Amino acid sequence: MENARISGWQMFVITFFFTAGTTWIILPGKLISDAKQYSWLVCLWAMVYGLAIALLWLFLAKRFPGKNLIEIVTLVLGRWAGGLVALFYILYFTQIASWVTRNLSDFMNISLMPRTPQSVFHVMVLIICAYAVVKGIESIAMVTELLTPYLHFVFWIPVTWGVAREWDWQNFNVPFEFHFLNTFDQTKYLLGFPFMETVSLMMLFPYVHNRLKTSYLLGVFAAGTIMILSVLMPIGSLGVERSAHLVYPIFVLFREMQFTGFLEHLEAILAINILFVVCLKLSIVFYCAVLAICQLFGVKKRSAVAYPLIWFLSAYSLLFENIVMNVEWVDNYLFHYYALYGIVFPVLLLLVAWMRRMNHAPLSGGNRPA
Amino acid sequence: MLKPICLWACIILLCTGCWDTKEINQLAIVNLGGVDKNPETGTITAYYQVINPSGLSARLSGGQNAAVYTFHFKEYSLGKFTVKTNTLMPRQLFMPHMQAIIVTERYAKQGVLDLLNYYELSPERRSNIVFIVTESPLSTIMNSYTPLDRIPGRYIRSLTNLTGQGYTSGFEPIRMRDMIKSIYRRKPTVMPTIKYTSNRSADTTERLEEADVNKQSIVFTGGAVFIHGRMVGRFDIPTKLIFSLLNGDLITYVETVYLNGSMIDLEARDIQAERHWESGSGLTMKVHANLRVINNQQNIVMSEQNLHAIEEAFNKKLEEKAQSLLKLARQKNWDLLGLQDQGVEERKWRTFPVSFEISSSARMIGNTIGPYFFEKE
Amino acid sequence: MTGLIALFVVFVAIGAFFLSKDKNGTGRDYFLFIAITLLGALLWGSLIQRRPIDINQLIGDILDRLV
Repeated sequence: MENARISGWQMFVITFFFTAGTTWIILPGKLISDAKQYSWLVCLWAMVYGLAIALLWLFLAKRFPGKNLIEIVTLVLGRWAGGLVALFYILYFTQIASWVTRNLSDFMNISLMPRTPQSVFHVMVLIICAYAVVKGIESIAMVTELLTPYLHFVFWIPVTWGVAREWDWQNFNVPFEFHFLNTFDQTKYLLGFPFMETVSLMMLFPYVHNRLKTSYLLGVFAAGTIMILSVLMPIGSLGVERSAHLVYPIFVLFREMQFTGFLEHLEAILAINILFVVCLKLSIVFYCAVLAICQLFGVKKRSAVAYPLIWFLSAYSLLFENIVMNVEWVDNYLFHYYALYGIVFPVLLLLVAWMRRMNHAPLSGGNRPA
Repeated sequence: MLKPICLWACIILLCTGCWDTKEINQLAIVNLGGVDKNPETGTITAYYQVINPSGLSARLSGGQNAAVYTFHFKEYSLGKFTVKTNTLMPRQLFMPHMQAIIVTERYAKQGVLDLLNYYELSPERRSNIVFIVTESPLSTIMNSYTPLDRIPGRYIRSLTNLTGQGYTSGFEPIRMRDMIKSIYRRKPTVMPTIKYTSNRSADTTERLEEADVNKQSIVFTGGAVFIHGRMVGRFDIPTKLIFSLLNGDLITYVETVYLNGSMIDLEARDIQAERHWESGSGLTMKVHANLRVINNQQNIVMSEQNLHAIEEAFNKKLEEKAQSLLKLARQKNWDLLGLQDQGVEERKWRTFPVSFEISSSARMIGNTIGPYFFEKE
Repeated sequence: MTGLIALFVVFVAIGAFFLSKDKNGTGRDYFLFIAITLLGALLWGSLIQRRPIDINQLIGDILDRLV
C-alpha cells in the first residue's frame, strides 16, 4: 500500500465525481422514461438511500481504523473465505471499470463519432487511466481537484442560461399516474448505480487524513443534488416525452442551445467535459481494482497489474453487444447484483466481526487466522 | 528532454479523429434541405443546397459565382439518402450546419412523423432547425438564389431571427424540436408557410443583378397547423400572432385601432398572458400589454383622456381577435389554447367557458405630443 | 486471431523486460502480470471467435434462479 495522503476536500471531489461520474449523462433519459416528471423525486429518495448506506460503510470502516475494504475482509473472514470475498470485490471493481469504459464509448459512438470502432476508445482511455493509476492516488486526487473548477464553470454557465431561456412549466404537466411502489420498483437501479458503487471508495478511506465522514457524505449528497438537477433540466426545457425518448438528453440540451445566433453547437465543450468526468471516475475505480489485486496477492508494483488489466477491461467492456442490452441488464439485475456488495457483504462483515468479538479478544490486534 | 517530446509526438498522432476524421475540403456542407413525399407512390424527394466556398470567396473579385448548388435525389426510404448522394455529389454529405428544412404541403398533410423520427435518431442531423412548409413547388424554392444573403438557408435563418425578437425565448417556436417537444400534446404546433412569388425559379446568378426583389422571391405567408405531426390546416399571419400571444410565446406585436375615425398604430410590448382557472366558471385569460404609439392620425392633441381611449380601443380590438381565435378553435376542433393539455376533458373542451380580460397601459408616445392637423372648415 | 496472439507475445515480452529491470521485483509480479494478461487475452479470443464468455449473462442467469 502506498504512503499517500488525501485531504478532506480531495475526498469530497473524488466522491462527487465518482458518484456523479457517468450517471448524470446516462441516466436522465431512462429515469424520465420510467418516472416522467416525478423522476427528481426518485433521485431524492435514491440520494437518501445513498447517504444511509454510506453511513453503514463508514460505521464498518470506523471499527477498523486505517484498514481498507480488502484488508477488513481478509481480517474478519480469514484467509480463505476472506480471499474469496475479496476476489468478488475485485470482480466488482473491474466490472464497474469496464462498464464505465463502455458507457464512454457508447456515448462517443452514438453522439459524436459513429464510425470509429468502440475498442479504439476503450484502449485509448484505458491506457491513460492505467498511467494515472500507476502514478498513484495522490495524482488522481490532484487532477480531480484541478479539474473541478473548470468542469463546473463550462457546464453551469451555459446550462443555466440556456435552460432558463427555454424553461416551460407546462412540461411538468404531463398526464401520468404516480404510484410509489411501482415507480420504486421500476427505478431501483438508481439505488445501485451510482449509490452502491461508492462502496469502492472504502479502498481509499485509510488515505484520508481528516474529515473523512463529512467529505464522503457531502460528496454523495452533492452528487445526488446534481442528479436531481440533471433530470429537472431536460424536463423543463426539452419536455418529458422528448427527454424520455433521447438516449442522452443533457447532450441534446447542449447541442440545441443557441446564444444570440452566433454562439451555438456547444456540444463539443460538453463532450470534452464528459470525457474528463468519465476518465476521473474510471481512474478512481481502476485504482481501486488495482489496489485490491495488489493487496490480495501481496504485490507492490501497481504497473505489473494495471497495464495487463487493460486487456481484461477492454474485452469485458465489449460483452454487451449494444446499449439496449446494457440498459436491459441494468433494469433487471443491477440492483440485486450490487446489493451483494453494497449491503450483504458489509452486513456480513459487521455480523462476523461482532460475533468474533464475542468469542475472541480484541480484533484490531493483527492478522488472526479464522 | 527528448523522451517527453517523443511521447507527445506519439500522442498527437492519436488525435486525428480516427475513422470519423473529416477533411473540410471534402465536405458538402448542406445549408438548406427540402423534402417531398409523393402520396401515391410514397417516393421521397430530398433536396440539398450545398455551399460552394469558392463562390462565396469570389464575391469581391469580378463576376458572380454560384454561392450554392442544389442537388436532389429520389428514394423510397429516408435512411438511404446519405449513400445515395454519392451517385452525384463529389463530397461527403455534411448535415450539422443545416439552417432550415422545407417540406411540401402535401407531405405535411400526410404527416411528417417519419421525418421527425429520422432526424431525432440520426447523430449527424440536428432537430433545432427551422421547419417550414411551402405552398409553391419545392423545386422552384430550392433552385432559387436570394438577394442580400447569398445563401438561401442563411436568408431564411436571418428572417426568422428578426421575427424571433418578438418572442419570449428570443426565438420563434418554429424549429423542428418545438414540434417534437409537443408531439403528444393536443395543442397544435404552428409552423411557418412560405411561397414563391413567381412561377419560374431564379435559378441563375443573373437574378442577383435585378433590383425588383419582389418579382422572384421567397415570402412568409402564414402558419401551417400541425396536430401530432400532421398538417391539418392553415392560418394567416395575424391569426398566428394571436395564437402565439395567447399561449404566452409572443411579447411584441403591432396592432391598428380606429378612434374618432382615424387610424392609430400601436406597438404592444412586454405582453403578459396569464391563465386563471376558476372552478365552476372556467378559464379567465388575463392579458396585459404596454403600448407605444407608433403612428397617430387623429385630429386632436393627445391627452390623458385620449390615451385612455386608445387603451380601451386596443383592449377591445385584442379581445375581439382572441374571441375569434376561440371561435375558430371550436369550429375547426383544434385545441388552440391547449385546454386539454391543462386538464380539461376531451368531450368538454369545446364548450368550456373561456373569458378574456385585456388591460393595457400607454407608456410611450413617440416624438410628438400630437399630430399636425388643420381644422376642417 | 493470429494478430491477437502476436500482440499477446509482444506485450508479455515488453512487460517482462520492464519487470526484470526492477531489482526489488518478485516472482509474484511476473505471475500476476502474465495471469491477468492471459485472462484478458482469453476473453478477447472468445470475442473474436464470436463465442464470448459472457459474464454479464452468467450473473443474470444466476440472479434469475435466485430471485
